Amino acid sequence: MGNRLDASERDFDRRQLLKGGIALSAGGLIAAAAVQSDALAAPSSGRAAALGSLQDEEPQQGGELIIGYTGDDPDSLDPQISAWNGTSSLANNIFDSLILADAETNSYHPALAESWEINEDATQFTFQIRQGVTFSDGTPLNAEAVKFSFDRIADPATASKLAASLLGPYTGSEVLDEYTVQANFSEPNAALLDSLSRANLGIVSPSAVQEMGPDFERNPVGSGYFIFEEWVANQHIKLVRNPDYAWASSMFTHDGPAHLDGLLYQAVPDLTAALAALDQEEIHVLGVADYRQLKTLQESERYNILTYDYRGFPSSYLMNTEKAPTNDIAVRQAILHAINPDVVVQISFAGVPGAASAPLTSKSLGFDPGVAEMYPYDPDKARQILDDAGWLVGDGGVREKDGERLSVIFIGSAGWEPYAIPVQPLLSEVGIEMEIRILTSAARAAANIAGEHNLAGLGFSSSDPSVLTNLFHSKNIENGFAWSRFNDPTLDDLLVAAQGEPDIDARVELYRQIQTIIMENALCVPLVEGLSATVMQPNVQGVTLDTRGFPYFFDAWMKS
Amino acid sequence: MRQMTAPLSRLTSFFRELGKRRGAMVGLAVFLMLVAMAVLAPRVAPYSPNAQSMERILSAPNRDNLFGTDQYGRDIFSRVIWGARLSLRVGFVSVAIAACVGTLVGLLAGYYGSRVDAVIMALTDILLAFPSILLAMAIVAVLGPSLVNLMIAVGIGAIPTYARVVRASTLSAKELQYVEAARAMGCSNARVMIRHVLPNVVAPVIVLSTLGVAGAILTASGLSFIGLGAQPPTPEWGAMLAEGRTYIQDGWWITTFPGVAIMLAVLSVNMFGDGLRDALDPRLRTR
Repeated sequence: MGNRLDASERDFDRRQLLKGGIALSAGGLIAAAAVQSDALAAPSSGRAAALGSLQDEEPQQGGELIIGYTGDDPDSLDPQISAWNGTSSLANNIFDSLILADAETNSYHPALAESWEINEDATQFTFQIRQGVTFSDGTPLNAEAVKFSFDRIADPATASKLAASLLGPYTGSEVLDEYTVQANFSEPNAALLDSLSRANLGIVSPSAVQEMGPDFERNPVGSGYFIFEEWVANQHIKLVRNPDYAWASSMFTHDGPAHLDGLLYQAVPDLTAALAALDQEEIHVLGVADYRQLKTLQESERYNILTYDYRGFPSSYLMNTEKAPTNDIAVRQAILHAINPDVVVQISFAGVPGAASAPLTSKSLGFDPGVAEMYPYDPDKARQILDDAGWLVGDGGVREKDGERLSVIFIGSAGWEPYAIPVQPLLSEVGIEMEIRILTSAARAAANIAGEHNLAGLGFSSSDPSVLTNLFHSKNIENGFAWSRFNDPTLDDLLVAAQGEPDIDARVELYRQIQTIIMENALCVPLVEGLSATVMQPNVQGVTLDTRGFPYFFDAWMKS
Repeated sequence: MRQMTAPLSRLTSFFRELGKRRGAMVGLAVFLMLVAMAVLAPRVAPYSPNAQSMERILSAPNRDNLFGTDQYGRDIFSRVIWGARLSLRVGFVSVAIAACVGTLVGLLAGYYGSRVDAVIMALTDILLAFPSILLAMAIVAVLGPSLVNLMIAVGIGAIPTYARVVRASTLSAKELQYVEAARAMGCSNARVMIRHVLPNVVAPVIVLSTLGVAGAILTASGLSFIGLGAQPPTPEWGAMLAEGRTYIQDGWWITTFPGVAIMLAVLSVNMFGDGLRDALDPRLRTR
């Protein structure tokens, strides 16, 4: 169940929604080494587990690391075009980014950009590009190449499915000198640093793109520590070490070429087969998004497991403020007090992911404990609020007011059942009837945009808190994800201000205010924070995850 | 006098025929048991079908939970019993829809012939060209998933079969002399169709309906399994299979018992239907 949710909900991309309501990102794609989903932020146990008892040992050189992936092949290996998680994961190792983000500390590290400057309203970013970097086709990586990549992403002809929306309101770049480039934006874009750290905004070789044209999608050329070698459809994708690599980011523990000889992404039919392959040691690394299976793997104590908690908006219900009865704030507040997210986590997810309590998950930049404490589980208080608001217990224990039954409609797509079924008795406990409607992704998106729900299931992971704009700014009511349909100029202004605030502390404060407004008006019920895991054989060492939960195999090595 | 006894003796001989077929009787017995279960569900089921219990998540079959519990701690036994209600209702209602509409359409086509026939049969041929499950899926996709829409979809999907069968019988029945006589006496078309032709075409419809119930239960379960039928937490057998399938390694009982229930329902109805067909077919009479 985790799988489906991750594929269809987590990576819900607005552009795709607009294009035809198809939830993006490609079902099971190459969930590559990790995650069929975008994860985030290791609990401290994560990295410790990876390094484990061998962390003092000298890394061994050589070996081919085999990474299992389930589902279909990626649609493309070009991260600037594809929106598939598998592509993003693979691209981490083929392309270099301008900057990297440390998933544990929420801090940014120089990578291809040695340094960067941001103007006051975050519309102008100037990057100092590292010298001496070459693409694997031998051409140099300079300011021109960076401009080429950005222009290419923004060019409608590229038909970028994800990178363009990550890049934001890009208006163009200026090459100031051989190694200095300035990117300009029509609106404040403080989230750009986070976007830049993702492989989708990695820098591609201009000469390779020009030479190969459309074939570039199957023959990606970057400056990363691994070089693409071959892709046999539905069999495997092979990368080999870049022997000339000498420009590692300070976020990694070593410089020079990678320890491993290469990476082999091996296709496996499904999770069951993948787990068998892991058990037989036919594969070294497997991304697991199914919480029950993950628990079994954890309990076996046979593997190194990196778990990463999602960042962004947890899996939640958005409460429709326009449709009765959730147009009554008392009803919304009562629902918040009546629902115990722990019950959902325990019953449906074996207690593996964390329970959510705020519009941003606890590992997100901008998470605020004060906001998280606003609605403790308290059924008595829920009953009291409803009594006071005139919703009195009627036939069959369901409350009524002016002849209207207190009945709410939940709408979600397949995969949302475990988030809804355990909640039904919790609501009925306080006299609220809940009808569950599970629709196809397209039908559900249409129904949610039309506001047919009282409660809409949605999770939206993002390594930047600006995701709240997608979910709560009134401009996104008619064609986006603002399914609580709440229209408040103060909230809108704050969301815009936070998006353009370059100072991190000031930004965090703005997001605290934003979340307070969201919860004071009871716009959503946060339920599950979610996590994904990269399961590895015990001899695999040094793997780290990016801010989306995709692995970096630069420091990785295998103990023979 | 004669007119009174003739149908009676025919009926007794039919039942005698049916009684000779052990398979049919076993099918009937199992089916009646399911019906009893469905009717008495509130009394027979030990728990509410949707009552969840955190303490009893995924427990194997035991004294308290005869068939074990599912991932939400719900009693499978109770859910299977309540599910009988839904599945049988879906089976009967959708077959009723198909049989009524199909018979009417088939009668019209067969009786009036020529252009009416051509148009109606062209339409049913188009419908027949699609597998009934595909047709049902398309209909549910348009109407939205719910039990009522499921019954409508499965019903519509089965209409062409009934229309074809009834049309064929009508074609031969309307040539019979007494039908001609009725016409000659000035009976209206409607009267001829209903009083004189319909009784003669009803036997195959009965057999087809019996077998159709099994098919409808299966189709409905299939659609619920892929999420196009009953909405959670409705204890529909197909939906139960779907909900339990990810837990097949931790709890075989979640999927096994609803699966067995579907099998029993379909098998019993089929066995009974087969016997019924044989008993109604004079060529297969045992001597």
